[in-house]
Amino acid sequence: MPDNPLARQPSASTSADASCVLEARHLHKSYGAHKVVDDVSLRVAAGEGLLLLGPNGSGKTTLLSLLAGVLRADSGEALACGKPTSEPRARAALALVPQHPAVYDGLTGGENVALFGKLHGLSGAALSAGVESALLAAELWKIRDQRASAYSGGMRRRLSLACALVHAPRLLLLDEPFEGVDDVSRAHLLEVLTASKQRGVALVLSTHRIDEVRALCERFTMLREGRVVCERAVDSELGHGPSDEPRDEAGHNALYNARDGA
Amino acid sequence: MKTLLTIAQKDLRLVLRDRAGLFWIAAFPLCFALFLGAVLERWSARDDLALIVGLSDLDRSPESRVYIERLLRSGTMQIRELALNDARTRLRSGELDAVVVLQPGMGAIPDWYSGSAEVMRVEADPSRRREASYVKGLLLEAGLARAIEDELTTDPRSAIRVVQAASLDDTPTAAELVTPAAVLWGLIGCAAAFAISLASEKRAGTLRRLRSLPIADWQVLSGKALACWTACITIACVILLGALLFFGVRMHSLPGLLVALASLTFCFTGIMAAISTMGQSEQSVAGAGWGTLLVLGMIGGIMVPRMIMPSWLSSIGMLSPVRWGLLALEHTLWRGGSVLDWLVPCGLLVALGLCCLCGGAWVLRRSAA
Repeated sequence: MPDNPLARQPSASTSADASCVLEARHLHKSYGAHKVVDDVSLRVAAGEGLLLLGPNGSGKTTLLSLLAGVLRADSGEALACGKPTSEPRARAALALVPQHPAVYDGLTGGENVALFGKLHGLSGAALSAGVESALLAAELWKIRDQRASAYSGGMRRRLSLACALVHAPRLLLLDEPFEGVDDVSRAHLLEVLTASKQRGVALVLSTHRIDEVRALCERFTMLREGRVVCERAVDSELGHGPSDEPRDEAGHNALYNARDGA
Repeated sequence: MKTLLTIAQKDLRLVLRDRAGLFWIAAFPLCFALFLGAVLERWSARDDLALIVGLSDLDRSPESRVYIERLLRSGTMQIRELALNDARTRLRSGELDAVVVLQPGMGAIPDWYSGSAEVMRVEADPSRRREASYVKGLLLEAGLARAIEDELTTDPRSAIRVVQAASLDDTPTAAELVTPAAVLWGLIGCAAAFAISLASEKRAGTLRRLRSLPIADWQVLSGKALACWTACITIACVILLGALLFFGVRMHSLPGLLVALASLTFCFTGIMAAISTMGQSEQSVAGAGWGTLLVLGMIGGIMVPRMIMPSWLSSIGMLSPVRWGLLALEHTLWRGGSVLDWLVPCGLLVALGLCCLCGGAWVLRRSAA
């Protein structure tokens, strides 16, 4: 059993610019006449956290899908460690944690994590170590032989994160990771993500619970109708009171809109 | 290949743990084979399937009585002697296939079979004209038999001899008729069950997650296809082995049967891949899957026997991969014939399977755009 399940280093980069884990250049995505992502560019370095803010329907999930290579952009490109994520091999460096825990109910916790490890090319001792580390990190090791259908909502969320951690990614893309999670599970998820970040894993996450991810993210990017309307440092802009909350270029209160889903 | 095996192993594991899915894949084709086998056993026994004919004797002469007794002894029809009105009522309700009316004066014309006068009338439902013609032939034969006994004429029936087709060693048994259909039902069940799995992955969000992995869309679909093919070939082999070992089904060509199995399972795997990309929800894919496969089965001849199909429907059925599969299996099992007889359907099956597989991969790839 590994001494510290969170201490594994991310897989090595093949990029010339090792500090830049993720780069998006002028991403555009439309469904018919509706522009969902409109000219979005961003950069995330190793060990850095980027928070995606915006009201419901602002394009956060679509942007994460474009960054993960799940969707193809109409124009522009997303690079993970210098390679376009539209190419399958480039996606080895990243892991996407969808909003709803995307795990196989018919498989056990251990089988779920092992499946994603195998599909990332792990085998033998490396796979066993990866599965064990990820399940220990998610505190699911003791119930690894139970089917995922028997897990509670919080456990499934943690299992989803364990599936993402099994191959020690350099970049974690998290879509509303704390939605529908109880306080205990939320604290644990934060602990796992903080430990990953300290090991140099870059985080990009969308959430409405801004106060809870303050420790994880240095910068935030606010989206409205698919466009970046504000991009600043978290510490300088996200205060505790309403007067400190960030405003977009038109003067709208970003957090208010985000919380209400306006 | 390792990626395909991993995805296939996952899908097979999920299906094996889903009891409802297992029923459609494993139990349903066996239930169908038993049901159809029972039906065809009765067909071959013929007694239960003899035409049910109402007979009304308006002549009531000793000669007409002798004729009726002869008909009853022949066993070619189930004859019920009834009053004319009662017989007509039963014919209208569908209880009888036809009504035979012996006309007054029949006994006075001993050579009626020569066509000198109308002595009988066959009343039949407009939709049962084929059966009415059959009844007419049996009535003539019974009259002729009497004339031959009385040496009024020679036996013209010896001029026609019914023999089996040259390629057939023996009449196919009910098990031999049922086995290809049972295999095809098994493949339909497999294809329908696996087609839903892609929609299930869309609903659960796992497809989105798989697409964020370092694997291509075609690998995801091919992995599922491999799982489906494994299930298809397993089911087909189980049914065929059971038929060969326990029901005495003949095997005309082992290499042919193996080629037929490989091409048939490949085709249905391709069909599964195409169907799986047809809808966004499990309900729409299940509807599309069962709808498509049942229509293919219906016109292909595993739901409605080809022998009772109208000619136009039988012609349309030649476009169904189910018909190609039936032909390939029948020729390699009991029908015999030349290599081309089963190789051509096998080639069509492989071509269609390939088209469907490529089409499914193309649609899946487009959905990422």
